[in-house]
Amino acid sequence: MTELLIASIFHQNIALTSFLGICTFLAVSERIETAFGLGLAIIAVQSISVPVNNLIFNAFLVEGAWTWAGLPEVDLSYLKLITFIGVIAAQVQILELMLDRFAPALYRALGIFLPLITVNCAVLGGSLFMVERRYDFGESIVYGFGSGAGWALAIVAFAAIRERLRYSDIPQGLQGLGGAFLVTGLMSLGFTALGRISL
Amino acid sequence: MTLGGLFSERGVTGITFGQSVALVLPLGVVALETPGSVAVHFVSSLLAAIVWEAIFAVIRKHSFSFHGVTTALIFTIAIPADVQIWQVVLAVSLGAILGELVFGGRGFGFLQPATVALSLLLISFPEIQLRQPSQMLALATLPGAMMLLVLGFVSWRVLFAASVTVAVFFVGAEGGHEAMAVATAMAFGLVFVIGDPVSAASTNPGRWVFGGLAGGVVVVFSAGEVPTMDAIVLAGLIASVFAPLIDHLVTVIHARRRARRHA
Repeated sequence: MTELLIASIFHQNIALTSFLGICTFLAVSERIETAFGLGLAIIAVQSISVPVNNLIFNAFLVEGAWTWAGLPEVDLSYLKLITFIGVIAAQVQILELMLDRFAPALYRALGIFLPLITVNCAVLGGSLFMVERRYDFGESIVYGFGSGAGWALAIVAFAAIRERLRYSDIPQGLQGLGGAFLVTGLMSLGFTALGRISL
Repeated sequence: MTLGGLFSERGVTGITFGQSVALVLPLGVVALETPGSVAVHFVSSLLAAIVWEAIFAVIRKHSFSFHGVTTALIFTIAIPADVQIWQVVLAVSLGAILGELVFGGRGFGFLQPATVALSLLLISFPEIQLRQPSQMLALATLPGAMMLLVLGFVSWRVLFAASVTVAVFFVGAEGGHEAMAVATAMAFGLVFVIGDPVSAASTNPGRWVFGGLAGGVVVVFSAGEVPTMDAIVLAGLIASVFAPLIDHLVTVIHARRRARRHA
């Protein structure tokens, strides 16, 4: 379990080694505070959606889930995409209402990127990895939290680096998004390479 | 500018010069251990680093910091004897450009080019393992480390925090490794990779956190074995990725405390 947690934060970091959720990653990292808020939102969504999807998948979708009803060969796992997106979308709706009520400043700062968590590929990717790697319920709780925390750490660190690089002297053509891509690559270098020595 | 002037100047060139002097002895030890390859590696990495620095200096009208010398020295000392010249040139070129020059030169980026070059080498060529420091190399690191400490070119807080973190886990743990073996493995990487002043945190409380983080990553990814140079370099890189965040948090906490005190 500890290994899974460390792996999902470091050498299987969903943003820096799988490059999932990169458009939000690049767009909401101008300020550290906003990045931190979005990171928390992703942790919340991911820690709930991965275990819930795990329960739904194993109870209804996996091959043999309907054996008790006399239907042993029914395999509904092709429905997993639509089911997972439904679960995530419902959850993001609730999160939006909560943020609007309790943290209106953050709600406004996140703007369109909050509802867009629904289609953030890091969140869907987490659930799909959970199926692919056959995590059980306990593992999916750890993995959901770990992958969310890894993504959040990555975006907050990235925002801090971008803030520091405001004082750097990057060639004009690379200022803005180009430089951001470079920095993302450099960050992922360390995280990806860790996978090599931890095997 | 005289040599003495360079040395007393706590500017970019001064740090480069100090670090380079500190690296001469380790280079000598490595040259004795694997004669032949070291000279070739050093010349090729130095040429690559300096040529790129010159190109950037001319095109972007920067002053010349000579930091390529330090990059080449650290890189040469850390790589094993069987690395090909084209691999050296490739890794050092990309490391110097992407890690430093594109951000405007030494002090403007957030990583150390030698660390970036070594990590690129590790990730691009899975068969390469960095040189595991010998006892001689660790001893040769000491005078340079003392000099850098006295000159203030490396933070004692970073070195101390990282050493303590590693020591607690490796030596203090039951059935732990010999302190000497761990210290030998750590010394060079600790001073020149983790301790690099540009890529480390730059607030004093942040330096403690930074050193602890680097040491912690070394511990986690060594899986109970004596740390390898690979693990130390990657830990240095990961810790530097988080250094701006650590500094930011320290500043925020400090500002809040001040605001409360003067409220």
